[in-house]
Amino acid sequence: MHKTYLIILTALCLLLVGAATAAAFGEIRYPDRPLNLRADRSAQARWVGSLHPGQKVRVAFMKDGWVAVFEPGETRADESAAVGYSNVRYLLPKPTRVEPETWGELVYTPRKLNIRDASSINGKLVGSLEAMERVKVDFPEGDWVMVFRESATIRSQMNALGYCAATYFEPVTAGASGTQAAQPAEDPGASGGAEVRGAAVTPPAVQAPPVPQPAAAAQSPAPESVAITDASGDWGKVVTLQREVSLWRDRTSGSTQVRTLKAGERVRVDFLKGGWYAVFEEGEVLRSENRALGYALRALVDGEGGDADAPQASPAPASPEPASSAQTRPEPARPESARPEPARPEPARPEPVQPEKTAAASGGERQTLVMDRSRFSGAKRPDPTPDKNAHGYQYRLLEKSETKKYGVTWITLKVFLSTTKLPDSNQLKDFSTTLWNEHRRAMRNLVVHIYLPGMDTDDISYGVVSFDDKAMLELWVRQVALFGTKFL
Amino acid sequence: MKMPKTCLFILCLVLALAATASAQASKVGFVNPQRIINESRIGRIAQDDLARLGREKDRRVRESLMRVEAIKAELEKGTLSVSEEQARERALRLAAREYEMLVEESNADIQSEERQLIQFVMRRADSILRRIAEEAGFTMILTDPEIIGYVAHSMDITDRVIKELDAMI
Repeated sequence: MHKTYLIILTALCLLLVGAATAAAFGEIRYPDRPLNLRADRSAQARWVGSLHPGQKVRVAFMKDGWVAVFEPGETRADESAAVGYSNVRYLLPKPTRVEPETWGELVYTPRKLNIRDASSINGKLVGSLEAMERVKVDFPEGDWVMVFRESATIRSQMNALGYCAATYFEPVTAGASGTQAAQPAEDPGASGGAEVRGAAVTPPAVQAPPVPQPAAAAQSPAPESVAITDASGDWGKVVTLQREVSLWRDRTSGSTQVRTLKAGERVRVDFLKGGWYAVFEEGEVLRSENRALGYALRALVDGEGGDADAPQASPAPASPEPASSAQTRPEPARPESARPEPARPEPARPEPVQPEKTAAASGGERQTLVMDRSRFSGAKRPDPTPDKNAHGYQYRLLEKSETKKYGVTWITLKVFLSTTKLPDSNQLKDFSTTLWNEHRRAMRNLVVHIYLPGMDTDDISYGVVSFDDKAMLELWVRQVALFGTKFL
Repeated sequence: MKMPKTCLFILCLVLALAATASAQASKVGFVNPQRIINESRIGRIAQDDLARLGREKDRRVRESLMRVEAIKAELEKGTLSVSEEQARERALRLAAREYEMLVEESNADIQSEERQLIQFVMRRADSILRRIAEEAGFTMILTDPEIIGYVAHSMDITDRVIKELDAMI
């Protein structure tokens, strides 16, 4: 009898050990900077996605200094499950800097939907989505989008399930709870979609951002939501911290740490943006971001034990992705409320920009500077070889990607311009306009980053020219990026 | 009696040697990043770049504000029909919203650019810093002026870093 138990116990132990070994292939790493993912083990390979600083990933199969990157929860120790390749020197065993970035949009489809391997009806069928199934979408291509699992954390084209037509998706909003979206309604065609849309146009208790007030605009460059709350102080949410939480001066762990809150302390949080909360004293009555004690990572604040005493001011569904786009997009549906007062901006000196007063120049402010020591460890790479001509310039398109910023889809072009003479603004404008004409798409903005010979194409660019789908928006150059080249 | 005295002497000797050794091993230097940004040529170029971006953003914000004011002026004339007036009011709300978002986004962009530029300059300074540290035998270089109570002039290598940075342009 004892022997039988012993054998069963041993078998169970072996199974557990086996399972643990299977789940734990490779190792967990964290990028120390925004990091590109490539389709192969080479910096010249096709760009497939990117990681944000501090993002948790699993890496394995190292070869020539390059590793295959996997979702952190990936259990298939197979290179075909990799979501891209990256240089291992930028992936550290411990996070040194955390700057979470939201990507994609959380959506569901009210009907069963085919997934194809290309952005066309002629693409091969590679799978299907069930009605009301939640997925994440990104990398729009015309009327098609790449579809990802809801749980996907890495923004990479290699992480996608395939392509679906974008028209069949509905956004998952704060109003649509997990069960609402996941469970098919009795009449999914009508009620499911209609409920969600209804919730989207009436966000819960979001205060309309103020129209810039003349005096405020003159004093502070950033117009922020300032509103005296009602007697109950009903804004944001009050949480009891379950652990020690660091507060930072800005929404990045690269900024200065201003304070550490202890476990058990009660604070009020609001202004969720990019995965960071603004943190206030519990009794704070003014909803103004500049009265915040600092910023804290949402994951640390919400944790397991965040008790919400007040309703959330920012519509934050289970996943932060859809909220960002929904919040930042202009909402023409809102004007019924109070008539905005654009009538007042006359004396408003909008001065959003006071670079002279910024921390760099002020001299008095304490800053934490993250020095990226690995930048100088390797020899300088040779310039890319140009392979195209436009506007009298030989150039090479290094990278083309699409991303969302402030609710707008941006096409980003990284271009190496082979020239011996520093191009002036007009030449940059003409050249970029030619590229814009070639790559522009309806309802999308486009930005061209221009690199010149001798520059590090993984670092900041020289020229930055941005367009919307109708005209050029901005053009400016960074002289400092020419440091180390023959142009400076 | 003689034995304890000898032991005590040896102990003192060992302690003295250890103290000397540890003093030699902990040569600490200091560099002030703020001065590098403010006083080096590359730092000043970065500040000019940031100011240029500021002006570009300011231009867009002013244009947006002018659009708001133009619509408002049309409305104030009072010569529009009811339907035209409603259309203008909608346009005014939209323009005001765009203006407001542009101001917010511009500030966020400038802050983000400022961080990028500072890091760009400091990465260049860092390569020099490391070389100087190795040459001069520093085991540690502090970069945060807030935590320094006093630093001897000989240990402050900021001027040397600035000079070498300037020489690279």
